Amino acid sequence: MTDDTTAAAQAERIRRLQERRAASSPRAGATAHAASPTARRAPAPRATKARRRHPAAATRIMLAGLSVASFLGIAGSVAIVNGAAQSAAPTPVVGTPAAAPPATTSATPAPALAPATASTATATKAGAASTAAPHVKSHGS
Amino acid sequence: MGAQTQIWWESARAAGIVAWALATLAVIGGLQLSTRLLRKPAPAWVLDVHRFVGGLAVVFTLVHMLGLLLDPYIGYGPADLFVPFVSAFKPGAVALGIVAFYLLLAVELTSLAMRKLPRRVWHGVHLSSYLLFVLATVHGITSGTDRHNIWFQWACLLAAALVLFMTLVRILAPRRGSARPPRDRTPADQTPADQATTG
Repeated sequence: MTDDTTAAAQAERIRRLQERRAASSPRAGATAHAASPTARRAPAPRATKARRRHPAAATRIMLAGLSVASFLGIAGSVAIVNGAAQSAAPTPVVGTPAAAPPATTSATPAPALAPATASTATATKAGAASTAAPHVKSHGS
Repeated sequence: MGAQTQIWWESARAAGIVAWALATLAVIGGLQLSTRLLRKPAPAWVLDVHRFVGGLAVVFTLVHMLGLLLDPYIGYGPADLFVPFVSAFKPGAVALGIVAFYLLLAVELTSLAMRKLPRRVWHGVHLSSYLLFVLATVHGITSGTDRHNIWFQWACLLAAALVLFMTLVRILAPRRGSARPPRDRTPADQTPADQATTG
């Protein structure tokens, strides 16, 4: 009789303790509930209510992704256009025989090549007005 | 000029275009909230997208400025980015962009602190979004490298036409919100979603 009373009181204390734990922290509550004898019979309910997603959450993700994709796409296309312009631009300048004066010998192309390359490199970024003063900044393609 | 050094330049250009597009989208969203031209998207959804897109516009504007700051060719310093008419390159056009950035920052910060500010102050600052849109568009057209791009030109034209049309609707058409009798206005209507309808 006494043992039954003690056991019942102990079970009651354990149950209260588990309830208090569950109330204090959702995770601890879920663990305590799972460890209790009743949890073995019935499936444990979720400790916390599933948080409702924001109605525009998917739109937010989509917009952010679209913005980053646009940014990368525009930057990539600009880089491709710049690369194509850089690779195409030196050909007519360096490769044209008329660019070099007729009187020049084979020793002159080397100094002539350096300024030509520099000017085309500037032209790809600075556009047509690259021959301006060095301090003038220009946005080219 | 190596490929590595051009990354910042290309990033600045791309971020500038994306920031302008996002700011335009935010303005159109705000106008949709106030005019209710389209019935289908719920105002709360439009308001959330409007806020999010505004925040994204600030982020991409900062990326735009960072790209200009780090690009070694253009040689921009902090003063060129933050002080109007300091830039050696097209000072007027760049100044428009700087002022537009400050307006964007003011609109965003006052929107974040909307609950703590007097409504009149928030509304007054929020109305400067129209000026922001105009300044940013003119800045892109006058100083942007891509101003000769046909796609950019069409995008500017369409955006300007849409914003102008919605603004005219907002000014000329009667307000749907004010047409309702006061007893129909539930507390749910007077949440920030409703406050934004006058913005």
